[in-house]
Amino acid sequence: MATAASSFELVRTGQSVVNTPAGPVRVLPIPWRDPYTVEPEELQEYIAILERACLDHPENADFRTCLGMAHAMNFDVYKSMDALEEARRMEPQNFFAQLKYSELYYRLRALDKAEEETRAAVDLAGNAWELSLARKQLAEIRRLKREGTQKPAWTKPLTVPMVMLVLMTVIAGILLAWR
Amino acid sequence: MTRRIAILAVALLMASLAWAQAPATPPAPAPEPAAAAPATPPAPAPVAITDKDLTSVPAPSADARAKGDPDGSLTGTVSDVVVGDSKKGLTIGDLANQAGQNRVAINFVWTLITGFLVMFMQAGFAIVETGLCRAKNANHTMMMNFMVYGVGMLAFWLIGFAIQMGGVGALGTLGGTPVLGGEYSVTLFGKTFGLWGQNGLFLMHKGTYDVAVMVMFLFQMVFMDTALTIVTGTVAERWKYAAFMVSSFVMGAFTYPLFANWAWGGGWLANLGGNFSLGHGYADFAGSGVLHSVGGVTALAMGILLGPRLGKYNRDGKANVILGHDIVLVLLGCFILAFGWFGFNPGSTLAASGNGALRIGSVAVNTMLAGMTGSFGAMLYMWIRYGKPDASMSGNGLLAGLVAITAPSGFVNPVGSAIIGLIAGVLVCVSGEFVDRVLKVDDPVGAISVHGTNGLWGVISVGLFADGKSNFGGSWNGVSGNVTGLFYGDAGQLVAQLIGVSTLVGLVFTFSFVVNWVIDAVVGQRVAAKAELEGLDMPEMGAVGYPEFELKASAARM
Repeated sequence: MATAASSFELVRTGQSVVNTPAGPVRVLPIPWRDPYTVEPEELQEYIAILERACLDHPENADFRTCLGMAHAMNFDVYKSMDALEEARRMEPQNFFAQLKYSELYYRLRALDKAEEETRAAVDLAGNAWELSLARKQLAEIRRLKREGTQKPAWTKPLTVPMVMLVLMTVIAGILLAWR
Repeated sequence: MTRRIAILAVALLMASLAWAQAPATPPAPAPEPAAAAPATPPAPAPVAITDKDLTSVPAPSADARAKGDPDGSLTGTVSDVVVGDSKKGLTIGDLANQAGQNRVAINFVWTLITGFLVMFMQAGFAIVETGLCRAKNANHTMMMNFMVYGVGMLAFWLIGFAIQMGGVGALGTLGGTPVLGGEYSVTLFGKTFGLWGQNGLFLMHKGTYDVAVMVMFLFQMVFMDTALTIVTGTVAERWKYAAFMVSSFVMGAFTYPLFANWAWGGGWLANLGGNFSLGHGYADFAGSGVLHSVGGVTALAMGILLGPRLGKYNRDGKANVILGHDIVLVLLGCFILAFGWFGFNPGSTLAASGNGALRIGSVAVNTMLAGMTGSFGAMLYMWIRYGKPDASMSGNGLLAGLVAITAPSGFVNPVGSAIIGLIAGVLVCVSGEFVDRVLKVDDPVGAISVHGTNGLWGVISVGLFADGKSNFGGSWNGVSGNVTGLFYGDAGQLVAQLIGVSTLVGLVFTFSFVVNWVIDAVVGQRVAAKAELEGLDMPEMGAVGYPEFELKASAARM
């Protein structure tokens, strides 16, 4: 296994460690190659390295994407959300930042939001491999939505229903008192 | 345009419901007696029946009974009356004793059977909550709903029942001896304020090993358990099982019984009428406040304490929808609950004979009507506002209508109950939006809105819609006359109800929050993030709810 320092160097120099049909991937591969085999201490070490890298490279979206993924693996949901949102803000066209952001919501089963964000990732896909990743996730989200029990998404202002409720009670009261 | 027409339709429905009970024409004056009408003969003087008369009452012969009784005409005759002294034979005293025992027996059986119906509501709550949660938490949610029955019962048997009913006095309709007469009270300004009961620990203490007390315990126990199970819905999918056990025990032993004593056990809220001439004091026929609001307000405190499920809210505060997994379970559970409500409300007469108990027919119909209009209210609201007649909210609308009619069911007429239910159906949706978007409290099943908000609405509606027609033995809370709301001329009743609502929210929220904060510090209330994301079935319970389902899903992915 590569040491933390050497992994960091790999990223900093942009050296490829995983070959894909589409070319090199710029994200740290070690901690999320198989999440179940990463020790908590090892994960903490990676998070510390990535946090330092983010400080050293404040405009690097890839580091923040990696940091977001590492936080997610550490079940630190809101730190992960913050890092991935920051990555998207820095580089709105970054496919992996967008995909991992959508994946976070998919894993949290916030499926409406996950679907919306994955659709955005589909739009950013630059090659067939990226497109297949995003589409596979989108298909899974849609399956879960189809098989789940819908609940209302409360999105509308409350003024009208509140007024209506009060009116209903007042009308009923007037009519009953007037009978 | 469609929305305006629908709103108009709802308004017209309200108006027609209210109008329907107004008399079409003023009552006609009584006609003058006809001059030529013959004088009415005087009524015969009452004749006393003596023991001697009873000897002439024919009893079926032994020969006839030996052939069986296929048409039922030989069963239940004078020969079935218990004779006290066989040498004297049947006496008037025997008949009187039998009549008394029959009345109490009817009331016993009625109260017990309605209690059994309420007990079955636990099954309804269990599957409603499980269906509205994710499949990965099914075992955990079911187990909380299953074990809350035992934990609550233990707490109530040991402590809770004594606090709640230990000072209520004689149980009139159940014919009991006054063994529950140990209310601890304080006297202020010359008025007595009951605070908690003292008799009845373990159902043995101070002569409470008594048949009537046993019936009362069973009925009150299942009520209390219903309040406890409300909380498990709001904090589902993130509540540590050990903390649930401790918290539920405390609620069953102290939180619920204390408020129930003030309202039903002879406490100070029930005596607002006698002490301060506020209507009949706090009137809550079957527990919109005592039970549902106590559960709902505790759920609110717990929801704030535990925080939302991971992923429920974005960083900008916007809420996400997290789906449930089985709408069939949800709606089936709602039906089971609606069935159980026929135990809740009609059973709260604690009698089916005497003391105005025949009002049970009206109570049962009021219950049905409010449930119906509640489901209509919620369904129409969702249809008009969001384009679809949402199934889960229609179910919640049914429950909201039932919760709201629980307090007034004994005091209102059918039109009043329909209006109360309709408003509850809309209110549950508005409250759901408010809790989700404004308070930002994550409530996966909507328990705060269904039980908390609509419980409070039910209590207030007694002070508005009680029509002054019900008379449960001539008085309520020791104040003679009938319970009458504002719309029928008694503003004092509404004031008593509002005092009850304020007390409930203040006491229950504060007490629940503080107690559960302490439990959080000692035991920890919330599961680890890893367990929450994996689903609580394995980390907390050690077994998944749907193992075959998991296998099937895995196979499908391969």
